[in-house]
Amino acid sequence: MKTRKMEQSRKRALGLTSRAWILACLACLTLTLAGPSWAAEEKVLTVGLSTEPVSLDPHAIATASVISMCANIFDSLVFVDEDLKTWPGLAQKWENTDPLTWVFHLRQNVKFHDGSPFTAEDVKFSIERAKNWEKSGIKSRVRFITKVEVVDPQTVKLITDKPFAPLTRFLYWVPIMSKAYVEAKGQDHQATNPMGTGSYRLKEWIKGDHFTLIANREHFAGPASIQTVKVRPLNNNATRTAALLSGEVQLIDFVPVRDTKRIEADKKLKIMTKPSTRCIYIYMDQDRVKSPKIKGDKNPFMDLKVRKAVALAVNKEALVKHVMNGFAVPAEQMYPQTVTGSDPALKGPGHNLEEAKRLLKEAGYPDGFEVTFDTTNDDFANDDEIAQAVASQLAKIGIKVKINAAPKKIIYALQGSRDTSFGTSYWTSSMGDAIRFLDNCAHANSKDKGLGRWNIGGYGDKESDALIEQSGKSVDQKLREQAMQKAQQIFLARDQAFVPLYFPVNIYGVSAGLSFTPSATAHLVYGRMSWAK
Amino acid sequence: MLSYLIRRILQSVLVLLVVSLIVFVVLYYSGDPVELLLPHDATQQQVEEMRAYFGLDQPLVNQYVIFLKNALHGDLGRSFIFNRPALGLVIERLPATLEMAFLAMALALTLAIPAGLISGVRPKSWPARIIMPSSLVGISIPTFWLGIMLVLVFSVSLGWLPSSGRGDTVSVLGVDLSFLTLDGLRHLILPAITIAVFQLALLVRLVRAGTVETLLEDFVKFLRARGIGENRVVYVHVLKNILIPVVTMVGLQLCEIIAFSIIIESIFAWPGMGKLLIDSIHNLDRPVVVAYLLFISLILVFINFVVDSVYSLLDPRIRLR
Repeated sequence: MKTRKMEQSRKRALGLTSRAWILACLACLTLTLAGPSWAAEEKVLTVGLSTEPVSLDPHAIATASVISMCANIFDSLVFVDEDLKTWPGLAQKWENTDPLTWVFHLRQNVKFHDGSPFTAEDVKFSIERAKNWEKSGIKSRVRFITKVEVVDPQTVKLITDKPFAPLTRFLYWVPIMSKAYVEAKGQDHQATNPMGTGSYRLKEWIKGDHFTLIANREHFAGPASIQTVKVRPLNNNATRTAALLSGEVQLIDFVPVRDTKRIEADKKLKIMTKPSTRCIYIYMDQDRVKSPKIKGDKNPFMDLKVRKAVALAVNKEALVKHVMNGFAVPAEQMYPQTVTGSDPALKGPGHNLEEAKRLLKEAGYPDGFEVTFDTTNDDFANDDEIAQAVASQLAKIGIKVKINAAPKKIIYALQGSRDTSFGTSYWTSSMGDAIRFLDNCAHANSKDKGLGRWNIGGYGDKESDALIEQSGKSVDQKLREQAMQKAQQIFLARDQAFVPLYFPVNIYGVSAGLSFTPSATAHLVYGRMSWAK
Repeated sequence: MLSYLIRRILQSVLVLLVVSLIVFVVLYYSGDPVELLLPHDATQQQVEEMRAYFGLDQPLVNQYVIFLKNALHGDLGRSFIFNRPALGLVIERLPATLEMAFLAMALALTLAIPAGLISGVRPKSWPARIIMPSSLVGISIPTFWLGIMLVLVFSVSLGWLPSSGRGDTVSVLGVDLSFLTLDGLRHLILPAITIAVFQLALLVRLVRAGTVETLLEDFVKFLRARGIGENRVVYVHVLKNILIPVVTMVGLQLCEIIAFSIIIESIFAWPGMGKLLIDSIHNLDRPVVVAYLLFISLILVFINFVVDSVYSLLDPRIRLR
């Protein structure tokens, strides 16, 4: 816009004489001829997002959309790549001086967007803010850090309460803010005025309409290839697809499965996919005789045979093929192979209705039983359709499932207070380490230890708990991996505490001219995108 | 006039009290905002701390009393999600919504009055034969379907107009307006037409019915007997008499567009208040929902006041009492 206006005014100024006109034309011609490379650099990337980040304070609300947006404005000590491998971020290298002490050597000459230098004080401030600020939503990600010491401006020492190997992975999720800026402007200012060291700085945010990001020329990894990125929230699925088809946006996330064919048919567009680390699973209430949503006064899920029967009756391949249209990977365990702690050898029981019926009969439920299945209907793709398909599969062995599909605001509250007996939930292992799932979903619920809050089914086993705790306090990765695999052998292969269903695939609609590699974290990192030559 | 105003304000205070109470009770029983605010890997202690921070650990009655106390001091609370004053969030979205609503209504009104008069005065003429059936179509088309179709035709297929968003804005006295820029106007066209079609169809039928009825009245015969020109009879005297129901309808419909054009705002990704409301309901962001409904009630009271005032302008026999 600006350049066009300048041109116009220039033309007007020159337009007095015919000679000037010719000059102007020549100037225009040279501009056009010299254009291509210059024009390609100036091309704005407009992105349509399914969810608008509600805040740009990276420590406040840790929803996926917020973290994804903040990953462009802020940097962390450690980065992870598209396949969850860690590599140096603001910290150039790190070492353990003893199992509890981590020394991070920070990058030199890194500057915040306001020009002030980045130092160890900012690291200390950010980690302490994440840990202690009353509105922090990421306390659980730094809770094992007991102390942050500034050794010198380029060195910072972290002390943990127990030996904790996945620390570096967790640190990717703790963006570094400027101490001076936050203290000068106040905590509440950060939600709308983010200022970090990241590859983009926020130019403007018109709520509900768009964000404009401008590349940070001073970024330590070099300036991003795309100079300007405009991010527009387009929550309505049809609207998002229409904006891509009409060329108004060049990248959209969460493409509805039914629109993928339409997008692929367009030569100027392509569909890109990336398996996510999210596991959609079924939980079963198994630690109490009286369960809130089961008819009768016995709880069948307390019997291992019933849980095994449910696992055998569910046909994951059919769910993936018919409900997810192939945009998912059947899950044999709780995390994909890229995640540390997954077990290449672990296989599910398969699909076998006869065996399932036999087990139900042995358990004393030859005619099945009645239970309510709680599912969200606005949270992940096809959540209520999956519940219906599971219900019809379970009906084949006589389990009568009544579906309670409701918005996540209702279902999360039911699950958080365990006012549920049976249903679907999910866990995203996007940190690349199984420990978060194990700590929160597989370990017995214990408020004192801060573990097992999302263990909706109430599963608990001493041996498995011990293995989980052991893998949470070791720096020996090999040992940890073995302990985590063994834990999963117990709670999944032996006790069938859950029934993992599938890993959904993230679907992006992309303009053919944009080169972009989707990440397993599902974050959109614009600094790693570029226009194809 | 003054007593009328005071009574109106007292009535609306009562309405606001009831509205806020209903919102409190309904949202209290429809879930837990803290579960939405915190990730699943939050610890139990973290959940309890946040609940206490927002005062959600208090019994419902206490929460309401605290809210009332703050509201009396002009503080409608801070959004749980956005961490900003709730009323500010609502007001920030106001210009976008008003802009769309007024443009749509102006479009509908300027077309509906002549079209309705023509089809009332000459029901057998060819314009009337086109106008009346199409008004039926206009009333029956679901708005969201029309919106999606317009996007498919004019944005995806023809590429003439943008499919969504608000486009460039200019700041006038601190208010961002898009209808003053070319790009903004282009963004406004489709949503405004989508809303206007139903309003237009409704108003055409109303104007036509009024015209047919008024033309039969005695005063029209007297006017004609006095030799007053047909144009003057229709466009001055008849029009003035049919405007009262039209003004009522415009007032009511305007209220509805402003307060609840949620579907249109969602289809066109229009950053208006309706979208904020629906998001806030989904996120159980109670302060915003309450602030929104209170604010919108005030606007509705104001529009109704304007409508009442227009009555007495149109018909001096009506007095505001």
